[in-house]
Amino acid sequence: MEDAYIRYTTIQNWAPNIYNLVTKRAVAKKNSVVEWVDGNIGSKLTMKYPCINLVGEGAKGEILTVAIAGKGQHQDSGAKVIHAAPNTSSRIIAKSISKDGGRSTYRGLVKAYPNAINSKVNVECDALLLDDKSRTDTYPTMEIDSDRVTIEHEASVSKVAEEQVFYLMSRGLSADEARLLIVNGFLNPFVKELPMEYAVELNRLIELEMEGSVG
Amino acid sequence: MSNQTPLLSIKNLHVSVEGIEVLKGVSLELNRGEKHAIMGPNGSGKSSMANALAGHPAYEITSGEVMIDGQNLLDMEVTERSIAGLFLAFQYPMAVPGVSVTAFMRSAMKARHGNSATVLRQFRKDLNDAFELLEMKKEFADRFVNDGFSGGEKKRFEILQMAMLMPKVAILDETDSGLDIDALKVVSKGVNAIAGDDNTVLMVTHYQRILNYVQPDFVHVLMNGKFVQSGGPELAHKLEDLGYDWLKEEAVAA
Repeated sequence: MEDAYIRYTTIQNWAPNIYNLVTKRAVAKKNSVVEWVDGNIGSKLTMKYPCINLVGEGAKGEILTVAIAGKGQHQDSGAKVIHAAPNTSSRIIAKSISKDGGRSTYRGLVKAYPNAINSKVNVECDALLLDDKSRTDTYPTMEIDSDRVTIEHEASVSKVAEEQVFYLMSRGLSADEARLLIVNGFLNPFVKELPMEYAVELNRLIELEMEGSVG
Repeated sequence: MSNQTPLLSIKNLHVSVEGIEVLKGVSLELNRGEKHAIMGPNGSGKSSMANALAGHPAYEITSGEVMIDGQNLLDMEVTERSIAGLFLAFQYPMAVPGVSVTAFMRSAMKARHGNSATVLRQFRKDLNDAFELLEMKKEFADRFVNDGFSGGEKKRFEILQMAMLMPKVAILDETDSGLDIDALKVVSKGVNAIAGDDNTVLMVTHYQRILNYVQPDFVHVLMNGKFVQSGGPELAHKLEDLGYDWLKEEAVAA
């Protein structure tokens, strides 16, 4: 539909023996907005790349995705945006946390067809590693067939610094509380986009995930 | 009398970093109501002392004894030291992106007082009072901890935390460095307001500047991991005039 707005929010917390292979696709027509908000906490393996086809002029797409990979988990997630009309814009924010030997992967595709003139793309990938056993990879693919597209891409990987934990502990927080606060801060831009009930639920899940995890 | 127990008592403290000895037998006693300053040239071991006392994992205490208000400090984890009343105002405070000043302070207060209804009810007011004391804008409450703070803002925030946590022993590690004169005055005003008869302040500093505003009762000079001189506030002025060289000669002669 033209001029439509849709936001689809999912938080999955599957059991650790689940293979979670998901397809999510959306089509955005003229001047419409599609937003995927996606959180992956559970499952053994997740492969999920929410997709938006921007087929109408002025269409907008936003994909906000968060993955937490703990022991024995591989969160392979990302985003896919196809710019197939003029003046379209997209924004991807992907955040991942890897801990206790977990592995997270960002896999993204941004494609711009020759008619996607004056289109804008903004991609931001941030990974947080809680220990040396865990792993994170980023595979951002861009296929740009139009020379009138503005693209921004930022990627960062940070380790929970000992110094940060020390700072918080020196104010009386336990090591676990310190790490939880750092993780919550890292996820803050994601959590504040969630409906209240989801945000509360997610915070509780993260708290459970972080319990007794040693950095 | 428990009131006679020193708040912090350091006996023959030896500290190493990566196998290199940075403190070579330091002793010091801080009593209630006293303000002390540790001065010394760069690399003398001042900041090492501050960090070792707070329990930074990079600083290994090889021998010595430290008691905080009669309890063995060296047996405590970093967290327990804070709860026991030790506070370190950091020289380079860490940023914690995404965590607001309010959330951070509330966590720190909860860690001390649990979910005590009185403390939590007081929290907003106490935080506002602390903002006022350090002449910080209310908007500060929603900013992320030290994230994008200027040098002066970081130092003010350290003292704000001190005002909230009300430590028994406050160690200020080069709190004056990187402050312009106005910020220095504000920070000093904060320290003076917090310092009282039931706590003690230890200022670690290279320059005598902050000591013009926060008057110490005792000044100790640390060089090459050892105290070489102790005295009253006049010692700081002498150092300002003469530098550290005359002490180096004395240290060698001794």
